[in-house]
Amino acid sequence: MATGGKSNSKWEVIQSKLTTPMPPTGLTENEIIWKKNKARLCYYPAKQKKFKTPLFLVYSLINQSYILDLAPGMSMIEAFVELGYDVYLLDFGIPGLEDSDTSLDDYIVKYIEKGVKRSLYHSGAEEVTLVGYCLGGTLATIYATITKTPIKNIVLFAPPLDFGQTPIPSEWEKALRSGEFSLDSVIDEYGIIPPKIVEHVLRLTIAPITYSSYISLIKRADDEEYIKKWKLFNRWLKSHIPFAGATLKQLITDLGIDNKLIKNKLIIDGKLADLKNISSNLLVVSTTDDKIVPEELTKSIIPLVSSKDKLYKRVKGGHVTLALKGKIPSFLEEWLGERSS
Amino acid sequence: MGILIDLFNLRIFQHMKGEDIIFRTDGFQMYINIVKQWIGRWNDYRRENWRMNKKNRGMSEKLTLLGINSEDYINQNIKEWLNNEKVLEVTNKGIQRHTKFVKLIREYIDLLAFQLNLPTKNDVANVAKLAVQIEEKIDNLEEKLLILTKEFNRGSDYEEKEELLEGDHTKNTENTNMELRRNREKIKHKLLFNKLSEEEIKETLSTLVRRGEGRGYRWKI
Repeated sequence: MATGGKSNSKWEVIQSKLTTPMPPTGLTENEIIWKKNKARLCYYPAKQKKFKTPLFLVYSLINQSYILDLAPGMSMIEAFVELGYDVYLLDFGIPGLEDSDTSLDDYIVKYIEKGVKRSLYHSGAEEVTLVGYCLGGTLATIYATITKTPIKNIVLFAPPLDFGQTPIPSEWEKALRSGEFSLDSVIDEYGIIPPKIVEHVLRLTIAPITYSSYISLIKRADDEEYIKKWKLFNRWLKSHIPFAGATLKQLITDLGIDNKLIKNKLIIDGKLADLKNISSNLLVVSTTDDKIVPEELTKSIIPLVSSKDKLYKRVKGGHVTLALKGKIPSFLEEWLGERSS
Repeated sequence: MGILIDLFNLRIFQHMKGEDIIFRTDGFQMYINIVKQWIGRWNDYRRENWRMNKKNRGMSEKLTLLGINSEDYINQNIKEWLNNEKVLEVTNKGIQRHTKFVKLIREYIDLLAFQLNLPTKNDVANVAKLAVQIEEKIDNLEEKLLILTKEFNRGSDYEEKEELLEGDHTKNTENTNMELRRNREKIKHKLLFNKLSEEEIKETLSTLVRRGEGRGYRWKI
């Protein structure tokens, strides 16, 4: 960049770009069709509707869902809409202290099930395609095991399901399983876990120190588009949300320690979450460089469901690479297209 | 003083001789020990890495590589350091102490708020919980209304037989009205006490919509 005949240093460029206002997110045209507590069900109409079966997106409870619609050209929702799908996104919102008693059962029965029913009423469709991201994938899987609502296809992106092997240090895992180390009392005292604690615990488990992203930023300081994307992604990365205490306790005990989902012993709303109850077409996607949810945590579901049409796909990239690409990978486009009416 | 430093260094040297690091509880020495071991490992790692990437790289490339590798290296070491019984024990005790401390603060804040006649954060949260519960009930009613509307829209499209409208169907009106009233009361009761499932609503509606058939109403569809 030249100013007054003198070229600016990379530092100056970075400084000027980083101090400019943050670009807006969530720009794909949408309408909120249902609200409950902090949750919202957003409807993104297809540009040119080609498929009757709408997509119902369930996002994680750890971060904010706007990563799925970060910016034009960096939005998975935009890409689905352009392919001709009606998209419904269930955003759980940011929990407050009053939500400390919200359990896993509540998220599944009171939010996901109700949300799916609303999307069916709204779209007039007979079936939906359930798409779950990260922990949203776990919730979608549990929901699919106990519901009677018609689900045609299930697509799961990096869902942590099998906690037989976790990225937690082995000594800590051993202590958690034996009960020597428990977080229940501190979770009860806090009610909801503040976002900064969520962020630090996750970082401690995956990568306690991160600065390589800043190196990439310096290296590509003259690339305006890259800096814009970097800013947006970096903001999302640090925008963790509080975690409802009751849900966290359930996740740690039932899923993490006892691994009840994979062992078909999980009880949700009085019903057994048996993976054999899943008979919809199933696609599970994991990525090669995913340090948060490695392959071992996702793959085990495939032989346990009773779906005849099931596929496990491992693609190159990190935990959220697919959501940021701005276009649907060809294998997913084909798989969904063939199975959507 | 010199003797003391020498003795200190000797103790570190003794620790460094073993392959596995020994975590001592005497704090300062433990940290010196860890840092020394990290520096040693880092030098080995750097030498190895440099040897592997001897190609002609620009300064920027080398710095990037150094940054990425050192990040991996530091994270790996932190994880190794954390994966230790002693660290786990200290963390566990720390969390317990922290929980007690947070509880104590909350109790005193509650006491103070009571004296000052002020609501606490928990009081506000309890009020919000009531709002959430009410919203939950309204949402259930809204959903039932949605099903009702949908079913009525589907089933209301019938026409009446003209001859029966003019005929003697009034004879049975009294009995039918009684039956209708009973049905209505039953549905009202179930709706009020939230005892009606989606399937039951559909079934009841279907019976209600088709009740006219006996009196000569005819379905269009």
